[in-house]
Amino acid sequence: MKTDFRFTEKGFRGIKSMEWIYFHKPGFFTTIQGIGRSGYSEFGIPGGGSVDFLSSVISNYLSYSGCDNPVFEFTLEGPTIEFNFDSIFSITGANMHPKVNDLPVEMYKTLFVKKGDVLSFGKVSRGFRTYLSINSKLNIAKFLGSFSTYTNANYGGYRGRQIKAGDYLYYESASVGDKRIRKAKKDSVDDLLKAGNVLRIIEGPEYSAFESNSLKRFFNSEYSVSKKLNRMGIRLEGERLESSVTNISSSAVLPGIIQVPGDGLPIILLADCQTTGGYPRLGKIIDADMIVASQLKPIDRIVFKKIPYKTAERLSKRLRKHINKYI
Amino acid sequence: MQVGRLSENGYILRISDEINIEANNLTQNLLRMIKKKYGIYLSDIYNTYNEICVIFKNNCRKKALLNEITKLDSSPAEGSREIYYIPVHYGHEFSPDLSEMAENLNLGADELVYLHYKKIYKIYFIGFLPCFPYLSDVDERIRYGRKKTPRLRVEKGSVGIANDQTGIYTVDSPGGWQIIGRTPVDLFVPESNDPFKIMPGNYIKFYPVGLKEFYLIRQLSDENRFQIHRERFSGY
Repeated sequence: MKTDFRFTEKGFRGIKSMEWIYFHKPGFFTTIQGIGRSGYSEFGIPGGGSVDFLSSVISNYLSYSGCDNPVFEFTLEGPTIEFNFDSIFSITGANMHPKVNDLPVEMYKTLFVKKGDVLSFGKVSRGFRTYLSINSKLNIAKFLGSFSTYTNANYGGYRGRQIKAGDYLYYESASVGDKRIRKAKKDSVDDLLKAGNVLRIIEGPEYSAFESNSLKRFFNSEYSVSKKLNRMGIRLEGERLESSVTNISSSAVLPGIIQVPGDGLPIILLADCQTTGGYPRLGKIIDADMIVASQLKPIDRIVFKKIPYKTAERLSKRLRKHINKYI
Repeated sequence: MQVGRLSENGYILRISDEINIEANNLTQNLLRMIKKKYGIYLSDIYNTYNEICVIFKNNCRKKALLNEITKLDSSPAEGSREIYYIPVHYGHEFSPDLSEMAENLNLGADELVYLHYKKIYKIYFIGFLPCFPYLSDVDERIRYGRKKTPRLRVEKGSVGIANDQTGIYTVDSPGGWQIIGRTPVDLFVPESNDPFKIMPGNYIKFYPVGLKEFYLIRQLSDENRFQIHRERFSGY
């Protein structure tokens, strides 16, 4: 951690032997993510990592990086980045209209960048989060086995915070070599979101505490995504729900859990959610549909559908098989 | 033991319907046993007041394992427990809610503070923030509800009360607990090789310090030179 601190000060720009990327613009909310941390919940450490883990894994596959490689996660609007080395990279997730030196480049494909090139992004059209994988060793340290940033407690990633304009990030090595171009078209976020934003859920521990009328409203109406969303969760707008318990004593929660606070409006928890919560848990979005949930942005509309645990387990297994193709 | 489902791989084991120190002791003892015997099959395990959350790894025979786990008997705790001595400055600089609380509780601020630090609290579990300890059994005379409107920012180190619970904000965070003091000690130090300064199941005893001592400890803490005083404790 200490060395990365020293080299990222602006005064070291002149160092020629180091490879770096420079952020002219940071984008709306850009952090280093990747694989999360599991096994530290007893210390209140959330799993974290890339919200859209599938897009994240695919980006590392396309750039010929290991699945453990840290990636950049952009939200809503992407950054403008200058490279001072040749590298392989790739972009997946939501389409933020990437360009290299003002010329559009394709997503879901192995790409090459040359020293001095500028990679820029605009605003997202469909979806919410975009992933950039660069095939080089980023000079940052792991915390509890992961590079992922958790901005709420300032750890992981680059100094535990989001990327700011003027940040230099240093790389230890860069090797390009001859690489065949890889593509992964069929997993594009556009296709997933076109499917109609039906999120399948399984029953949560307090499911039966909700009134049957509330449950009917929950499954038969559309919810919209409010402006209150971040890496921890999404507040929804729509039909208000009532349950016989308004507060439970703090109990375990996970990404995907739908909890309903006192105002009756459901919250979907995402990757950076706390380990415990005090609101009744109506259900959990199945693993297989978390990719859609992770790409929701304000005003998007969704409907919920309940499925049995057995089906959810089968779909989860299928998703893992699918992910393994890229590892 | 009641078993509920939380996710594809996650289960919640309710050890007792009560929320008290005995139930929490049973919960933590059982957690240790499960961890020791079945840890290799789990991607995560943690407890709250009276529940254990177990997350199985993919591709393990979770139904069979769960069946074995529910048959375990919680035995008395193995190994010893510790008390962490945590300095707190209860002066008005760091305790925005102390005077209002004291007034509404018909207590002097000194009395309120004394009733807070005289007790040894058990760490029932950690949640909400990294290393945020959920301490319960606050003296009945100083129990006080959460703030109606949570603060957007509660400073790191703030010591708060919410009903029968007390806890420490380990990083700057939004929060609704009533703030009565601040500790200069970091309980969560991500830069350290040993980032977690407290363990669930152990105990916390607060002790009051003056402002000068607060800043002295704060400086030592910044330099990673402050050691939390610990003592063995047989527990409640």
